[in-house]
Amino acid sequence: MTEPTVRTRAAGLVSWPIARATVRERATAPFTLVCFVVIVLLGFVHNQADAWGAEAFSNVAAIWFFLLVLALSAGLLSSEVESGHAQLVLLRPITRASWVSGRLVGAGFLLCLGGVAGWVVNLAAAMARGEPLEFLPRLLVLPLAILPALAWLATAIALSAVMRGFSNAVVLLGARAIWAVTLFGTPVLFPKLPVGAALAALDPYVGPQKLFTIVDQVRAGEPVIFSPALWDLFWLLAAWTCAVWLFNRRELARRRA
Amino acid sequence: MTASLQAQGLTKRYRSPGGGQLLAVDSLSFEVQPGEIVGLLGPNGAGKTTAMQLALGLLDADAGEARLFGLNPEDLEARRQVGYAPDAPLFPRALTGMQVLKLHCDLLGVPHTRAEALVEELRFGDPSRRQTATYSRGQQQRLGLAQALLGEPALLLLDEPTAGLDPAGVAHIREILVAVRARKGAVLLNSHLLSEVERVCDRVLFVKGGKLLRAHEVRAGGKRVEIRLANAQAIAVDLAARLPSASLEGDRLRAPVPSEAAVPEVVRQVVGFGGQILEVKLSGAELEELYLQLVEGPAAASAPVVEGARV
Repeated sequence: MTEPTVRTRAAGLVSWPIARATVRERATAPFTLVCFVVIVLLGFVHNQADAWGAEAFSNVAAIWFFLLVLALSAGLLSSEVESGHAQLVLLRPITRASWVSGRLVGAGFLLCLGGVAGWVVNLAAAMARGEPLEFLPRLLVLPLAILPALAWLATAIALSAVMRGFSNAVVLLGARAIWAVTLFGTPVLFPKLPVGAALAALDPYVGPQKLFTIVDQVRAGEPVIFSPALWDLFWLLAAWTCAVWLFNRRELARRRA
Repeated sequence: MTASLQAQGLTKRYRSPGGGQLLAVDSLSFEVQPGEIVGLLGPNGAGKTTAMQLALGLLDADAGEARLFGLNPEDLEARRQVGYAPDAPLFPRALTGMQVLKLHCDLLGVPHTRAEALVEELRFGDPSRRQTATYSRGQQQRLGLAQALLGEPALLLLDEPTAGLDPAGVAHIREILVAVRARKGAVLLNSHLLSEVERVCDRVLFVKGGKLLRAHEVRAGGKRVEIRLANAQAIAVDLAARLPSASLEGDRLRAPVPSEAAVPEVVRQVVGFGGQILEVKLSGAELEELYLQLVEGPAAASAPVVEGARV
């Protein structure tokens, strides 16, 4: 048997070879490429009077950024399980957790790449237009746009452990739609029930939160409240853990079937 | 010596959605030692693939256990020494064959040059640069074999490796298996090609209905020499007297031999009592006959399970 000549990191928390392979695999998917191109093109568009970079991730751009999340997560785990390649890979010295984490990190890298591309183009376009540049808000926008997107990505990937293709997107969007109906419909249908305020208070915690309020606080010189960012970080890690747990459950069920 | 693969009492039942159960593997016990090639023979649905997957820990056994090099199949150290080529493997469609191999190199911790050398050895250079989505069945098979061989595994499990391959590919796989055995690697081979199994395997496991019907030592007593004679009938009495283990059918004399080395002696004896030889052919033992008798024939239904057979 050939002795390993390079140190294998496969048994760690994240399998970097899996992450790299995921980047190669997903970067060439047609829908991913379309999302990338549209996000970059939208970076040129000047659509806010007080542009400080948020426009790269707002309105139509936000929709395409979310579509990129869905494109990257669709069947990310299930397609490998169904083709049988996951079983081949898991025969290597690698744990199921590090395989899932590798897939997630690879997809996350591409999401970050898309975000950075849109952000850079937006910055370049603003400079070309001679707009006044607010450097700190512009710098803050990038991680504050990417963090909730990563949390959504981890959620969609967790669903992809048990759902094939874009069915994870359907479930994710369906769940959000049901929550929206509950949030806005309940006070209308049951005006006497004191649930409206409770639901509104709960709303920020039904999914990752938008973080641009932090930029607003910085620009206004107000004290910065980091709890939304911490919530998104918690959501990201929880969804990551869920992805590993769901994949483990599926794999063990397959082995027992 | 620790067996490369040891299966003890493996049993697997598949549950159907309706609540029924299918007994796929039934108390299967066998071993594969370093430096030997073991064949799994049986009809479709005999439980051969399931047995392999149980041995690798890809499926959970309802009873019994498998050990790889004395370790649990889930042990990462055991996995490092195992190569597995499944029947009809599928790979990420967006990756090229070389990218798939390099991924497996990285997972095993072997240099990428190993993948490059292997694709040349398997005559897979050009297809390896294309996306796997464009591969034929045979090319998928070759890629599956290449990834199994990457780490020069001490234990190689091949599930129908010749399915979809051209004759040159089949011959090449035979060479590879012999090379693995030469470096003291162990091979468990699941194939329907009796002739290939006969040529490379040291031992054969006949399996049907998930049960081990018989363990057959191919190398120990499995060869026979077939001699075509111009005057077979004229020397029939002499043949019967001097070569009692041989049988004469028409103009063909068939005699069991322990190995290739014994063939010249048999030929000398036949010439010695006047036999006019037209053709000499060394063939494997009665593997096909055994297969038909054990697996397809009436004996199959009543054949006993060989418990704990070393295969």
